[in-house]
Amino acid sequence: MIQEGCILGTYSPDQSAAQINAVLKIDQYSYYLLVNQQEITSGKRSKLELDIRLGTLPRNILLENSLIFTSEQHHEIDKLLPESSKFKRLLFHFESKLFWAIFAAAFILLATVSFFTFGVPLLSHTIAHALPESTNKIISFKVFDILDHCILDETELPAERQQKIREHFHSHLVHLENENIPWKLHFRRWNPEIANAAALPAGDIILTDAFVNLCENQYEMDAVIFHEMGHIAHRHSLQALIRSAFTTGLIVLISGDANLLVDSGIGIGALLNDLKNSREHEIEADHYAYEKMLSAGINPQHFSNILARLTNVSREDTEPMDSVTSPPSVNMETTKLDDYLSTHPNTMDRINLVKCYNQCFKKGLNKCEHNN
Amino acid sequence: MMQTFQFKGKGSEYFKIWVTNIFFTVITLGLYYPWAKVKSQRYFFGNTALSDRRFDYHATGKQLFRSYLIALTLLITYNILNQFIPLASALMGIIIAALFPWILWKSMQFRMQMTSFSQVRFAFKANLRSAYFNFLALPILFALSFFSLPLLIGIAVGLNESTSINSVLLITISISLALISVLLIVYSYSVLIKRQMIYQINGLKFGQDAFSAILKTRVYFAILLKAIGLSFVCLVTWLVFVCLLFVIIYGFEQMTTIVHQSVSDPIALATNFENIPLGLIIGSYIGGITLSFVIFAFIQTRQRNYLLNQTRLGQTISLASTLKTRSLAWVMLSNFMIVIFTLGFGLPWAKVRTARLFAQNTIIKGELVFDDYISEQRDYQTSLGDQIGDVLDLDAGLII
Repeated sequence: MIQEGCILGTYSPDQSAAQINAVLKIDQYSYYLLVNQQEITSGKRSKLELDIRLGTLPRNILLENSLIFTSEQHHEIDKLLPESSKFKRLLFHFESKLFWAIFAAAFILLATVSFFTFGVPLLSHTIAHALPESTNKIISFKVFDILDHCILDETELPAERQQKIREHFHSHLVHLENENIPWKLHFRRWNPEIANAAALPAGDIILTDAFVNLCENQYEMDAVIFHEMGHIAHRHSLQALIRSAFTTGLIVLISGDANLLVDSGIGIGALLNDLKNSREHEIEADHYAYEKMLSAGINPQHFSNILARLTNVSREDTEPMDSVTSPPSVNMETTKLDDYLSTHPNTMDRINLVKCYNQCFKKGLNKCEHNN
Repeated sequence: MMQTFQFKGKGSEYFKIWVTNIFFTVITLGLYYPWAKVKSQRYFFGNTALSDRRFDYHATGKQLFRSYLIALTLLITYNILNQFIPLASALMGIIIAALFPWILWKSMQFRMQMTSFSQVRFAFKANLRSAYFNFLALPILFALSFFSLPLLIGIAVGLNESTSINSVLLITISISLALISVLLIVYSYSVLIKRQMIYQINGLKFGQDAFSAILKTRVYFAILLKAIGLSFVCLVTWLVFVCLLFVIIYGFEQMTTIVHQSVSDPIALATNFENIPLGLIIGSYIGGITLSFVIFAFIQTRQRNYLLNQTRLGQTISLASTLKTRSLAWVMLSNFMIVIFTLGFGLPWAKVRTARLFAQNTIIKGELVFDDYISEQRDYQTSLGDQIGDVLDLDAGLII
């Protein structure tokens, strides 16, 4: 049943800015534009074009000779000229219902939180492992040169000692990793004597002289090398790159609609999220080290011994690179906020982890199932 | 005759539209964005009114969609290149920078054509060459003005080595040279803003009439100098505020010990850094944000008021702005709090409050005979420029 009736509104003659009160009368097949009951123009009802309803904005009805009739009588317009597209009707329904808005808000909140907690790590993990090995070469291109140029000096370790460690590395440690990575061990001196180890994505592991001298036995050195191998095998650098690309992209999408002021708020959130992920990578590398130590039959206690010694030493160093050391922590009772502000996991977490692996070692297992 | 603009939108109404926009943008993985953008543009334009006459935004989602895809591809490519091959992304950055004036010009044309007031369309008629002059050549010149600082310091050092003038005179000369260089930088920035504003306003048309503005560099110069003065005041205020917080949290005695300790052993203080109470961090952060809002609001208010007060439409109509630094700073600060404490869901209210503040402080003076204004011949352009600008977050920062 086609409705007939009148809509009150204004129209602008000759594409001008004038607004003249008018009536749009609509019958079964035609429309008539009336001013003071005088007909100005008329045409076919089917030729009328309507803009999409939005909030309580006045609606524009385009008549045939590009005249625009404007009205705020939403009820009459919806009755006489119903929106033909079901989807647009549905959209307007959504846009005007509080219940729906609350539901959508809850959905958005949930989607955002779960995307950052599960989606981004999963995606970056999957993509990082799907990319060819050569990607690692691209991202570590020149990094070693820069390190050598700016931070590291030539090693002062005797050549024999280096040779011995390298041989041990290639004969005892490398084969425990299935992935085909061009492993290489480097010795450097980091002035002033900083004990540290670092990994570059292409398979280079750097040990500083101070670190080599700090190790009391070969097992301790192996533990730290395993930790660095863990970073490389899990492709952590690549994951971090991909994740930051995702985060930046998403922030641009979100804040593209906002302004400068909101950006600063979102930026802080993103930074905290990055730090959280960096700690998760450290823990993952720890796990890797413990697993490999179990397979090699090394007591996990050695790892926590060297960690403890590194932590004590590293109080004096100011900026650890990608290292096994924790940031300088004055007391063990760190707060939740501190947890969020540091790149490395707190020492208590790491001690609990080693307890767990120690038990496995005592049972003679070479794999350790555990719950955090 | 004087008339003030009104903003008729409501936060609660816009919230429902906004949340629906985001919902559909999320579940379509971003494809709905152009339609969402049109809706929010329409909402804000359509609710800005002068008595019963309103603005309107006429672009459709379909029109924006294709160029949105192109722009998005560009952005993603740039981000990926930036992560893996920084050199290529730098090259792409240079190309985009070289195209920037064109993008801006296209974007202004499209936006103005799609905007109407009381059914009459706006237009943007400025030429491309001036866009390149004002948005590429001048910014480069401005960047060059920064080199005056090392240059003048170099002169001072040279004087020191070659002549044997006394040290008091040398210090006086150095300080005045540095001062001259700072003034030079601020002055060239004033020239830059002035020229860019003139370009945007004088290219603007409403119906058959053109907008015009006569702007003076020295007004912008004065505003910026005052802003620098204000920044110093704010910095001092902030330092006093942080000291007060320190005293409140630690007590006076402990504070003096900490200060002594930090002088004698800075490394120990640095390791103690993570033990600083949360209250102090949050307090000084909020204090800092508040004061930076004040500075930002001051600059924006003064520039907007000056610009609108100088703007004319045709022969008889003039605009004016009655914005106050105090009210803008308050709206900015309270909006920031609203957005933070609602986890972002208060954004619609924040945007509505800002729109209301700007509308209520915009005045039209003179005899407005609307019947005289007629839409000019339309030749719709593509929206590519607009979308690239939108995705790369470029904004010419125009009034209203």
